[in-house]
Formats: sequence, C-alpha cells, structure tokens
Amino acid sequence: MDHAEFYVAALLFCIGLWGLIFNRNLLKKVIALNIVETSIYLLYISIGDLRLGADSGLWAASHFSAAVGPEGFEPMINPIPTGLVLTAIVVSVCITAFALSLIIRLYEKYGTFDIDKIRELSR
Amino acid sequence: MRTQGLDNLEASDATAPAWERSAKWGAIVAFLALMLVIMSRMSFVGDPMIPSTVGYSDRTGARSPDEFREALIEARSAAQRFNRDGPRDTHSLNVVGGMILDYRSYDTLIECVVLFTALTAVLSVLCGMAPPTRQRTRRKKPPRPLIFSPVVDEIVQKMAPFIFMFGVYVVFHGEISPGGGFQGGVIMGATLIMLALVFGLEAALDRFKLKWLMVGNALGPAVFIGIGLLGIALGKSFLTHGDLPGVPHGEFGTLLGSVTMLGVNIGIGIAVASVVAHIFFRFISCECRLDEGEPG
Repeated sequence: MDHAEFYVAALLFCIGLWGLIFNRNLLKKVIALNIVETSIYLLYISIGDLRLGADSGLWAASHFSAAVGPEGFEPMINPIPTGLVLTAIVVSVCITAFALSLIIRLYEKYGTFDIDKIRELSR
Repeated sequence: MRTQGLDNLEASDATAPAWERSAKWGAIVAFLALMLVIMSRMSFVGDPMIPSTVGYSDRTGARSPDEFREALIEARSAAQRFNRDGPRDTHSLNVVGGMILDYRSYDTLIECVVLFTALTAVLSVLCGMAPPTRQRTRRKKPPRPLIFSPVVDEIVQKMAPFIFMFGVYVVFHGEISPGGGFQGGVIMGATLIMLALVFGLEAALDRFKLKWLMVGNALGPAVFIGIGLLGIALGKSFLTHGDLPGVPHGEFGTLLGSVTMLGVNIGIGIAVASVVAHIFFRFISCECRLDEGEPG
C-alpha cells in the first residue's frame, strides 16, 4: 500500500454512499452527503502532498530539493488542490444550508423527515 | 404530529423487498471495489512519470535520472512553480492564501457570490416562515431565560469575546499563516451561533442586529470586486494583488505585507460570518415556530 489515504477516501465515499442510499431520514441523508464530500477533500489534499513521490526511485531526494522551492522554504504541498478544497468546502456549506432549508419546508408541510412517508403523503 | 415525525429515525429499510436491499448492497460493494482498483493505480501530483510534471516534450526520451533532474530543474510543474514564485508574485507568505486570493481569485470571488446566493436561496425557500425577531427591550434588563446550566452560561459569556477575537486574528493573518477570510469568518460566525444557542435567539440578535448581518452579506463580494477594480484603475488586470503601483505594501512576511489581500480577507471574513450566522438564525427561528404550532 503506497498511500493509504486514497483507500481511506474510497472507503469513506462508499460509507457516505451507503448512508445516502439506505437512510430514509432526510437529515441523515444530508449528513451522509457531507461524509461523501469529506472523502473528496481527503483525496484532493492527499494528491496534493508533494512528499508522496519522494521515495519513488527516479525522484531522488536531491532532485526533489533542487527542483522546488525558494531558498529557505521547504515545499510540502501543492497549493492548487488545497485551494480547490477550500472552494469545495464553501460549496458544501451552501448545499447543506439549502438542503436543510428545503427539509424544513418539507417537515412543515408533511410533519415527518421520512422520505417514504413524504412520498406516500404527496400522492 | 411532531413526535410521530421524529420517531422513525432508524436507518432500517425494512419495508423494501429483499431483492432491492441486496441490489443496493451489491451496487455499493461493486462501486467500492471499482474505486479501490482505481485508487491503486492513482498517480500523485508531481510524479515524474506523468506528463503534467515534466511536460510533454521533456518526458519523451527522459529516461535517466540526470535527464529527469534537468527536466525538473526546468520546473514546468505548476506546483513547483507556485511554491517557488508564489511568495514573490503574490506578496503572501502563505502560498495557499496567495493561491486562492491571487492566482485563482476569480474562483474565490465566485465562491463569495455562491455564499451570497446560498443565503438568498435559503431566505427565499423559508420566506413564508417567521423571520427572526428581536424583542424590543432595554439593554440594561435582559430577560434571559437560562437554557443550559449556569456553568455553560457563565463560561460562554466569558469566552465569547476571546473566541471572536481568535476569528479576527485568523482573518488578519491569512496571508502569513494558515487561515484567511473563510476560516476566520466561520469562527466569528460560530461565536454568534454559540451565543444564540446558549442565550436564545433574542439575546444574540440583541448584540448583532439582523440588519448588520444583511449588510455584511453584501459587503464581502462588494469589497472583493472593489479591490479587484483597483487593479484596473492602477493599470493592471482585474483582481491583481501583487505588484500594484502606488499601493503601499508593507514588508514581506508581516501583517501588512499585502494590503489589498488583507482588505479582501477582511471582506470575506465579514461575509462568511454574517452568512453562516444569518442562515443559522433563520433555521432556529423556524424551529421555534415548528415547536409552537401544529405543522401543516
């Protein structure tokens, strides 16, 4: 196992997918959606780790330090995926807020969080 | 009605037929297996063997370590270039802060607008519900009901200014250390949420009026676009932060190292704090209403 974070991200994604599929409670579905988003953050952060490839043979430590970074700064991360994750977090906050407000409206109308009951009641 | 709505909180899917359950499980397991296979073949950013690191022309024929070394010193990789040139280009010691506020500032501007849009969407969905109202009472005599224990009450009252100040600190140090407008703004918004949770919505709205929060929502994109237009006014491109002629940037690596970026961070911090707090205030005012009356 070269970098365990990728596998953890895959597992986390599937846990969130399980929650999205098997939960009937809408609030739990929103939490599961947030777990899926967390797995994406983990994947992005870990592919942005510049130290990951440092021991891959062709990329010796000398090459690594010679190629990157100004003097005195040790390069650790790729800033691009980190910036993308910041964007993704903001978008996920917005999605969560919007989903919760829709759920509030559904609860106000049907008096339940259960998606199956809502489906029956709306017929 | 309310208790009936809340008791079915189990994750069980007992009503579904067995074949449907097994089909769902099979889909999830198959998807997990597919993802694990993909992850095992995933290459990391900066892998010498992938074209985006070395560049298409350098990759062909570069098979010995020396050739790779030359190609890497040429440093075509975006990550290497940003890490090396980022502090000089953006006047920001924090490369991630420089990345999101200078190189990718269109993205961050649109993020701000997305926050504003999310608040608009939440308000329009909940528009028929009760708006958070503030009791018109004198400040000297707060009719605070005790929601939690007195310990929580005292500690939150004592700690809230410090937590808010920590948020302000994170906002102001966004360009020289990890942090920035979004992170610090969330901390400041969390202070308002904490006050609303412990002291009730009225007490929180007594300290931070809803009108100010509305102004704060709009202030973030406005400050961002304003400072972006400053770049045009000074003869550079839109949303330039680095080398603006006439802008008194301080010494590199200090708090005023990039004055424009500091202003943008403050704007984003105010916007994020007010959006987060405003959305939460809306939600708990809806909850108060649902508690009172019969839904429907």
